[in-house]
Amino acid sequence: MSNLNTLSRLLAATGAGLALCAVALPAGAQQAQAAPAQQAAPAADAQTISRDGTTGQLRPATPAEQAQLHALKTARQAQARIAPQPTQQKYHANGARGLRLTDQFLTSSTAVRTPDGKIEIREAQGGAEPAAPQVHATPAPAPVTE
Amino acid sequence: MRNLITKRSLVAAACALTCLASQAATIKITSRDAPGVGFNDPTPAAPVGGNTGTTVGEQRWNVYKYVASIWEKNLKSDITINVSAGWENLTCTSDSAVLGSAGAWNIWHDFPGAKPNTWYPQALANKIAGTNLAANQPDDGSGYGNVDIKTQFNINLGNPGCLDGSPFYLGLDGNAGNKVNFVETLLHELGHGLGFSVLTVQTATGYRLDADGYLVATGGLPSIWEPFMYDNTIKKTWLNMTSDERAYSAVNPLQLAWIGPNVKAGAGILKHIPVIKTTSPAAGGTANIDYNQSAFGPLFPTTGTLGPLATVAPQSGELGSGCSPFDNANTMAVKGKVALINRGGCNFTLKVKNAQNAGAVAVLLVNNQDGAFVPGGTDTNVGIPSAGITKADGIALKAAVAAAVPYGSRSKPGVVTASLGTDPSRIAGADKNGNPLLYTPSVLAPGSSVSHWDVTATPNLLMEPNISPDLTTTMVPPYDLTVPLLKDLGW
Repeated sequence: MSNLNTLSRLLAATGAGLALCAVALPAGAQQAQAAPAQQAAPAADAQTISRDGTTGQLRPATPAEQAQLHALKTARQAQARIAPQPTQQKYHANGARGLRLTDQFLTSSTAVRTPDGKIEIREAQGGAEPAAPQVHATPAPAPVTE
Repeated sequence: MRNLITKRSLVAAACALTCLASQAATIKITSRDAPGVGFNDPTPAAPVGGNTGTTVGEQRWNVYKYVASIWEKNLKSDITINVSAGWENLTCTSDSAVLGSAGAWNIWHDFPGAKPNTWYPQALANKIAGTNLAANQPDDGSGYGNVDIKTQFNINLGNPGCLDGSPFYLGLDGNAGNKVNFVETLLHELGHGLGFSVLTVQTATGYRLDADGYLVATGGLPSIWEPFMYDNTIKKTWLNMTSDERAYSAVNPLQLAWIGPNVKAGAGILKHIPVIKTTSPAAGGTANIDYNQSAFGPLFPTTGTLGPLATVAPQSGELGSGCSPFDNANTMAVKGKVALINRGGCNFTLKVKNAQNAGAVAVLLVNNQDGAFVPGGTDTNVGIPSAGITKADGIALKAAVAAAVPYGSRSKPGVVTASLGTDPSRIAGADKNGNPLLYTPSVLAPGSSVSHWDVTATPNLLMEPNISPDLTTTMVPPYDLTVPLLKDLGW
């Protein structure tokens, strides 16, 4: 049971890391010819939160901090030396066909402590800072201080 | 007699339909955790927020059961929904942490009752087919290869080296304080696993998974989401788009609407967009102005008069508009009024505090470049509300303030008055037809774009990319649109 659990953790870590690598690919590379889902599927979102070194409050991870986490993942993958978990096709007697997906298809959330000390929980994005809440339909970037 | 027979037949048919109707769903959670860790963590824990567990592991399990019970009450299915759950050693540092992830673990197409050649998440496919499609399927060796939903969360969150001191809040009452509310997070993530996700379309390219599980540039099988996703620019649903069109639509802000009937029926919960309304005795001074509240200071009220607008004159030696303590002239100008201050030269908090010290009741910060912005910063001494407005609106308001002056007397010049209201022609989080919008920011956010409601929705919705602290665990109108969307899919 313990070994199985460890294996699953390593597989999950490896799959998520590959997804992040896929995000970093140039658009042209991602739009190449048909590719197996396990190689080019939508990224698994890392639920990433950061504590601001100055204020001590939680906030979305900056791209640099996310890059640091990605580097840690990459290092872990290199140590793991395990192939990404492939999808698995399934067939049912009633004619239905199925597919077991991979961690690359999963989604997640991010917790953020705002300047006033409250926690916000947001969906994270591979390599990008989550959008700040908006109050109306005018698109706006994350808060700026000046 | 014939009538009686007819009536009896109708009664029998009604009974049959009742008997065939799906029952409330059952969700079975299976732990992947080894003894002593995760759900099996024996560390003593004091009961918290209605969670009566006495160990960390037990409390984690109780949250899963609680959230599952909420979903069970909102969905109908005769087939048990299987969720695999684990607590894992996910990547983190003292200041950053991967919280976890979740989603559908199996998908199916062309099962009995399905739309032809369409991918469905397994839990929904089972409900529609009336059978467990995963039954008798060989496992992939993991022990959980046939589950409907796979979840994992960070076992170390809050420990030294892993977002120190900020663990998951395991209470059931929503009083998470400065911890991470695990109930709301899990409720959201299970929503994705149950079908709140376009899932099988790669949003970066618009490619679909084909029947063999390969992403393909043309053809492929549509997601069950696609017939309900209508782009107001392209004027097609995703079902009828090319891959390039879907990729364009995924980054077409505020244009991708959900047109399913159940969501449409409940969309009335979305409120009209708040605006600052200005009135002036001079021509051209009446307008509706979009604004973004500052991240600091109190919020604007939703209705009522804000006050007369006042411009702030440049002061000698200042780094930027409003960056220095206001001189007498500017103090007289803004006292009891809403100060219009240009962006630039110093922090927004300093500008607003200077205006506050001069007696202003609010501040509108005018952008110094095109586009909208959210004034950020932190200053607990700011006690008046402020907001960012566009450069164009700021220029127009300043002109209106000047134009209004002659419409009064020397001792009481004419003014432009700002009040708060809503735009009757626009709904926050919906298109002009009232259809709720999906999240499609101009910069793609893989896994976040498309598979959520837009962040402009008011009230806040569970399945926005930002999980708000004001959410409840009610997922139907008048509070939320999560369950209506799932019903559109076939739940």
